[in-house]
Amino acid sequence: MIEYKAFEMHSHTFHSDGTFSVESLCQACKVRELDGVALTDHNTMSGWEEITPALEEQTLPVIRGIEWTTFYGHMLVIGADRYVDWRLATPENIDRFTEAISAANGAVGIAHPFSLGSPFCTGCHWEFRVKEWKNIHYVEVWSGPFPLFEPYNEPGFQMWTDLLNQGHRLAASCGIDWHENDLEENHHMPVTCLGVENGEVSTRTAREALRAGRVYVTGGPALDFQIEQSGKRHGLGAAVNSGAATLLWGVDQTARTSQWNSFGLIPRRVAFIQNGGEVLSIELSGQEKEKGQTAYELWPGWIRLELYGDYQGRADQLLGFTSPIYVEKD
Amino acid sequence: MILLDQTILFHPEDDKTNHVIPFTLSRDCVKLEFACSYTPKVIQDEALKRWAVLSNIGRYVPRYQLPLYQDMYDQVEDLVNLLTLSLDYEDQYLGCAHRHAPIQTHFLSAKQSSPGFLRHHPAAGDYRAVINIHSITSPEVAFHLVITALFEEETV
Repeated sequence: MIEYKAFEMHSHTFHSDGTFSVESLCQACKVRELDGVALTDHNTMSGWEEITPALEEQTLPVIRGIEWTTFYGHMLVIGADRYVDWRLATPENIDRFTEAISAANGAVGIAHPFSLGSPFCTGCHWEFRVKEWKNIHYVEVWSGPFPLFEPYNEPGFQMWTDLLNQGHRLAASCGIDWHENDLEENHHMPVTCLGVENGEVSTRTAREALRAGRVYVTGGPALDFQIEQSGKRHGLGAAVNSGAATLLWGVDQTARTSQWNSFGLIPRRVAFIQNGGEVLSIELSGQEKEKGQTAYELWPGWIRLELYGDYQGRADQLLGFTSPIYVEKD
Repeated sequence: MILLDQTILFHPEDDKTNHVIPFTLSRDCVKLEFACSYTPKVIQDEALKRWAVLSNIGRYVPRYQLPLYQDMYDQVEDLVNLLTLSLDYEDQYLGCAHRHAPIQTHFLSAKQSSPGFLRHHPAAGDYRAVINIHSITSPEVAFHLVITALFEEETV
């Protein structure tokens, strides 16, 4: 049984260049009604030593991660069983390192790929020339405290879509890249939702969700997208066959409502994007919980759900999106 | 006991490299300290800043978005250098102090280490101090590193 839980997937403490302590980060995430937080300090795991059962009991589970802060790009590594050295990575040899991380059961995510690099933010722009995409599991397509309006997220989102169109299988995430508790408590904070086994939030289940593509991003309501084919349901990250299928979708506005309902966020429609193009749009009625199903003829490639609506006075904004379900030629 | 006191000069050709400083601890100690400083941190050179900003923005921003970044020159306060210190013991990575201050002091000990570094009993053996040169924008950077071992008898 897969259950989706809300996470902040990119955070820093004073173990690198943040001002949070591990404890204050956890407290801040608890206030945000998150189910888990990934601790991803730059080039260090020393913050993990402060994660105790008592802290997790009092606040929330902490996912062991690290942000590879290299000279040529930043990469989130979640739940690897062993450390892989970040220091020798170059644009030409990155595949060797992602293969090693993947072999150590880690989940690999490209962080904020279109952030500006040096001299604006050293190493922040993704410049690695990846050849083996199978060892990269996701792309952080929404980054920063205002991801919906950050211009650098637009090409990052497009990069993800282009990679999917090239046949690569990649999930997508968001991350505040939280360094200090400088966000007002009423600041809007989109989340990454991971499909974890039996609702268990742990480093193991989080990394497995990322590696399997059971990931969606939302600025507000909980999302559901599955495909039914030949009497069987398939969730995010799964592969189905081309041909006749039923698209099953759901939008739940009762999830973490206090965290987003004061930002003028009003869901209006769900759209289905296949191979980069919008193929179907369904208007929402405005009910707190809505779900539906639609017969649809799938062709090979991929399909994801996107949620659109009002946001801070702007109409038809992207409010959330799922990672794809892949469609193989029957 | 001072194990190493060294000043290393780096230049733009060292940008995006790691400078490895091996050192050996001949017997166990209770604490290893690393005093690091580098200068300059901030480069207040308007001509250099203009060149660095204008010659790089197009590398990162798709052409259709360039108008959104027109005020980037004003947003960049000053150019900076960024060098960090990471440490290894034998084959074990001990961590990194990825922070921006140009003067930092770190330590390793069994009970507690500085933020960024794992707890580590400073046992005898081979260590590596690695200077991670993330960004050099000035013509030269001087990095000063002093490594000190504190032995049991010195704590009394």
